[in-house]
Amino acid sequence: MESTSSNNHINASQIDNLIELTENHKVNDLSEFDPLANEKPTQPKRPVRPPPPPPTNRGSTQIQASTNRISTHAPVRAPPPPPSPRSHTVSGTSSESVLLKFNENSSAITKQPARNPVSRSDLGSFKNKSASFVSYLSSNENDNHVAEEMQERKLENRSASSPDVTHIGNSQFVKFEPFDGASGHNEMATKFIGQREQLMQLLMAKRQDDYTKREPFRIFAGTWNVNGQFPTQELDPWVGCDEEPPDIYLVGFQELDLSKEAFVFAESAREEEWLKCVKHSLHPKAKYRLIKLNRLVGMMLLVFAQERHVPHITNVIAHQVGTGLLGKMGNKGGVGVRFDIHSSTICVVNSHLAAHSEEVQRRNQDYSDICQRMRFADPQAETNCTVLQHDVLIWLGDLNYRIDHMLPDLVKELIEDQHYKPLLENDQLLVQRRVGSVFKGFEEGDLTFRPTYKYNPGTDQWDTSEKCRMPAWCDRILWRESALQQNANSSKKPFKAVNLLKYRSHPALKISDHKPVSALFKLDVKIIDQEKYRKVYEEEIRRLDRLENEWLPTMALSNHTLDFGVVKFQCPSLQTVELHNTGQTPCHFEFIGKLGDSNFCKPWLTVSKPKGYVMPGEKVELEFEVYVNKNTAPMLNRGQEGMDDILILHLVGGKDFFITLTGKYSPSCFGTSIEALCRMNKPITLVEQKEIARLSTIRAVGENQLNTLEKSLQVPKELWWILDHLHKHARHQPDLFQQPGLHQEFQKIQESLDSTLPTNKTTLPGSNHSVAEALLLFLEALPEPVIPFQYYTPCLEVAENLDLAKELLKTMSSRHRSVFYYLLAFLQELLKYKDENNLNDHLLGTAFSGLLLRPGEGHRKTGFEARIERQKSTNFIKMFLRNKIEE
Amino acid sequence: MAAGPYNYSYIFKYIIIGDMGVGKSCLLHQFTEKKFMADCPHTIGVEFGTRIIEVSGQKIKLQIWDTAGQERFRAVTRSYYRGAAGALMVYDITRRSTYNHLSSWLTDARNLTNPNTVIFLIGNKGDLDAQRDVTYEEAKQFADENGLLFLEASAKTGDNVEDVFLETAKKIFQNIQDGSLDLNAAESGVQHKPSARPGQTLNNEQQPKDSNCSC
Repeated sequence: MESTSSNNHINASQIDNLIELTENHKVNDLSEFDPLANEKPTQPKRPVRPPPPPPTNRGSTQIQASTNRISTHAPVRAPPPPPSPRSHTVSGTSSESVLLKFNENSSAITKQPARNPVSRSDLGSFKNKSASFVSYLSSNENDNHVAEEMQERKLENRSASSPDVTHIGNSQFVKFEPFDGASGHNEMATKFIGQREQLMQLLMAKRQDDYTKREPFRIFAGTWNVNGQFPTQELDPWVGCDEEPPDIYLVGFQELDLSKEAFVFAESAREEEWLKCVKHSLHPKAKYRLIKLNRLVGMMLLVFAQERHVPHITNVIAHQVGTGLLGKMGNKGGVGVRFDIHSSTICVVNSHLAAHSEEVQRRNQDYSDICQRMRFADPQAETNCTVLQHDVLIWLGDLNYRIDHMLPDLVKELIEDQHYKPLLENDQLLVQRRVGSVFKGFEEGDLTFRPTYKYNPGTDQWDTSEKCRMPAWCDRILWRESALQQNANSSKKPFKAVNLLKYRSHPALKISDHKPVSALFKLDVKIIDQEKYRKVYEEEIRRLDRLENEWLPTMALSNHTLDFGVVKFQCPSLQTVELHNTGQTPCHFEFIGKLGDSNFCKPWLTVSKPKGYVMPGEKVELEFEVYVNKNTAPMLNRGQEGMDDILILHLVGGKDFFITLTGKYSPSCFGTSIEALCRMNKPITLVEQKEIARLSTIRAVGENQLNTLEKSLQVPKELWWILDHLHKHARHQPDLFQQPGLHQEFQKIQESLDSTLPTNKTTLPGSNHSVAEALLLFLEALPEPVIPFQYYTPCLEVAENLDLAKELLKTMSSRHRSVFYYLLAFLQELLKYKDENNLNDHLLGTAFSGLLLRPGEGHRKTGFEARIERQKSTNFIKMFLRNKIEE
Repeated sequence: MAAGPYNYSYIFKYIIIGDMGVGKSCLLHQFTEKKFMADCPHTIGVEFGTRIIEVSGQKIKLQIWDTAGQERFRAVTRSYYRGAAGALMVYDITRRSTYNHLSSWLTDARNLTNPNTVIFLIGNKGDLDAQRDVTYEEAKQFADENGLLFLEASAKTGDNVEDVFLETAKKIFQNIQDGSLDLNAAESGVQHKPSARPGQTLNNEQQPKDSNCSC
C-alpha cells in the first residue's frame, strides 16, 4: 500500500464495469459471502446423488435450485481464473464414495438386527408369519450372509486405509486437513480472494468521496483543419489566447499533410513543423512538456501538460483508427490519447469524419467505428479500455457535419445578422445527437461563433470557389463524463467534474479554409488522500470480514448431551436433538469421525440423519437410537467400552458441535462368556462391573492354573435354569424351536436370568417358545461359542469319528465341555419325545451346529467350502445326538 | 513495496487451545469482530472464524479454529491440531491452574502439529491486573525456555489481541520466506496461490512512462 499516489486509484471505467457486473447478474453484495453459493457449483459435478431428503424436509431440495453464481467477466479486465480445478473434484468424489460405502455399511448395521430372527421386531412379527424352525435356520443363514458381507466391507475399509489411499480412507476426517480440496473452507477461501479484490474495488468506489478531494485543472482543447498548409502564421491567437495558462493542452489538427507520401508512408515533415509552431505559441506564463504526439496521416493530436503536473500523469497510451479508404485508411478516422492525471482518467480523440453534406450516416458510422475500434491496450500496465471507459472523454476534430435544408445565401445572410437559431435547428450534428444517432451522452457548448468552414484561405470571406461550399460548423469540441460520476452522488445534485468555460473560434488564423476552434474547460481532478484512503480501505475490509463471519453457517442445538440412562440388551432407547439454523445461510451438516475412527459413532448407535441440510430459520430433528444386540453386547458386558461417546456434528464451511452421549449399560448374561458366568455365584446385575471385566478375560482354553482355586460352577446357572425349565415344561411342546417367542416375554426372561437366582422351584416367565428362543439367543450371543473358536477346525476334521472327537473335547476347558455335554444330553432327551414335539436329529443338528460350532473372526469361507463346513459341523452335532454320552 | 506482476495470497490455519474459561472464544471474537463478548457461553465443539490481514504487503486469510477447552473434549479436540500453521495457547493470568496446565497443552501442540507450527503463548485477561495470579516474568521465562512467542493480552479491552494474531502470521510468513516451512508439505497449514488477477490488486504499481515525454 505504499505505492505512489497517482496509481492508487480506481478509475471510473473500472467502476462502470463493476456496476455493470453487479447489475447484470443481480448480485447483491452479500450473496458473494454465501459460502454455500460458492460451493454449489461443484455439486452438480458430483457423480453421486445428494443425500435424499425425507419428505418432511422441504428445504433441502431447494438448495440445488437456487444457484446464483456471478460470472466475473468484466469487459475491461482479463478474464477471471477458471474455478480452481485442483484436487477437490477428485477428492470430493472419493470422499463421497467412501461416505456411500459408509452409508451402506451403516444401513447394513441398522438392518441387521431386523434380519436377526430374535430381534425385537421379529419376535413379534415372526409369530404372524407362522415362521418355522426351518425359517429360523434359513434366516440364520441370511444373518451369516449379512455378517459375511459386513466382514468383506470391513476388509475393504481396511484396504482403503492402506498408505496410498490414506486420504480416501480418512476422508471423513478430511475437514481437519488444512487445505485438502475436500475442505469447504479452503475452496471457499480460494474463490473468495479473487472475488474480494473486485468487491473491494466496488466498495471503495462507492466511498470515493470519503478519501478523494477535487482540484480544478484548466484544460485547453483546440481543433483546426489546416488544409495541408505550412505553419506560416504564429498560433498565439489560438493556443495562447487565454489570460491564465492552461494546465493541459489538447491540440488536434486535420489535413496536416495532404501529400501522397504522408498517406503511403508514416512520415511527414509537417509533423515537426507544426509541433514546433504549437510549442512556440503555448502560454508563456508556464512551462510545458509534450506528453504525447499521435498522428495518423493528416490527423495529429498533441497533449501538453505543465511541467509541474508531469509526475502525476500516468498510463499514457495512444491509439489510432482509420475509417477512410477501404474503411481503414488513415485519410479519415481518429487518433486518441488516454492518460491518468492523479486519479482521474482522461481520454481525448481527434477525428476527421467523412466529408460531404449528404454523408451524415457515414459520419455517424465513422464515429461508432472509432468508439468500437479504438483500444488503449498496454500489457505492462494491464490496461485495455475503450474511449468511453474514462472519467472524461473529450472529442474534437473536423467532424464535417453541415447545415441541411437551407440555401447558401440565406445561411450567409443569417450569419451576418448573427441570427444562428435557424441554422442550429438544421445543424446535422445537433439533429443527429437529438435523435440519439451519434455522440450519445456527450455535451457541447453553445455555438455562438460563426461557422468555421469554408473560407477563402487568407481571408474571412466565404468560399467563392466553383463548388461554393455552404458555411458549416464542421469543427467541434464535445465532451462526455462517465455515468458513474453522476450516479455516485445520486442523493446530492449530480456532480459535474467538467465545466465549460469558453467555446470559440479564432478567425484571426487565416491560412486554412477552416478557422480553428477551442474550448476551455475547468476539470475537477480526483486526488486521493493516501491516509484517508488507507483508513477507508481498512474499514471496508473489516466490514467484509465481519460480513463473512456473519454469513458462516451456524446452528443452535436443543441439547448437547444425550443421556440414555440404563440401557438393556436388545431394548432400544431413543433421544432427539433439534437442529435450528439460526444463521443466514443454508446449513449443510454431517457427522464426521474422530481422528482414527472409521465411523462417526459406535456400532450400538444409529442416527436418523447422519447428514442433511437445514434452511435458515428452519429446524430439523435428529433421532439417536441406542440398541445393543448380540454383536455389541459382549464388549459392553465386560466393560471394555462404556456407553459414553462424543459425536462431531460438522457444519460444512463452518463450525463443529460436540454431542456427548452417556448411558449405563446394564450387564446381561446374554453376551457374557461361559467362563465368567460359571464363576458368578450371584445374578450378573449384582456383580460389580470390575469383577465382570476380570472374569471376562478368562480364556476358554484348557484349565487355567490361576483360576482352578476359584469356586466355579460347571454350567452357567442361567443356562441350567433355561434347560431345566424347558425340560420340565417343554418336552412335549409341539414345534419346539420352530415357533418364535414374544418380545415382551423375552424381556422378562432376560430380567429374571440377570437379576434372580434360580432354585428348583422357580420357573421362568413366558411361553415355552419364548424360553426356547432365549436359549438360542443365549448361545448365539456367547462371545466364545460353546466349542471355542480354536476348536472349530479340529472338530470338523473329526466330525465322523466319535472317539477322536471325545478325545479332542477333553482338551477343552471343563466348563465348555460340561456345557456341551449337558446341552447334548438335553437335546437327546427332547428327541425321546419327537412324536410330540416334532423334532428330529437332523433339525437339531442343523440348528445347534451353527450356534455351538462357530468359525472365528479370521476364518471365513464362502461358497462351496462354506457348504462343506456347514455339513461337517451338522454331522458333528448329529454324531453326538445319536450316540450315548458318558459325561 | 514492489508487489510485482504476481501477488500471492496465502491462507493460514490457526488453532486456539487452552483450559476452559481462559477466553479463547473471546479472543477470536475480539479479533474478528472487534467486540468483546461479555456472556460468552462455553464452546461445545469448535468455533470457526476468518479474517484477512496483511503482512509484508501480502494478503493473508486466517482460518481460525477455536476449540472447546473442557477436559472431557480433550481427546476430540486433538483431532483439530493437524495441519495448523499457528497455535495460540491461552491461559488466564488470574487463574494459576490454567497456567499450570500449559505443559500438557504444549505437549499436545508439539506432538500433533508439524515442527514448524508457530506456537504463541497468550496470557489473557490482562485487564484484571489486580487479580493477577501469574507474573509476566514467570510466563515469559516459560515461553523463552520452550521457544514460544509470548504476549499478555486482553480480549476485553482488545489490548495486544491484534498483535498476537499478526505476530503469529509474521513468523509463519518469515518461515515461508526463509524456506523452513515447506508449503508443499501436506501439514504445513499454509496454502498459497498466485493472485487470480494480477493488476486487480489495489496497490499495483505502474511506473509513469517517462519515455512518452519527449520534450
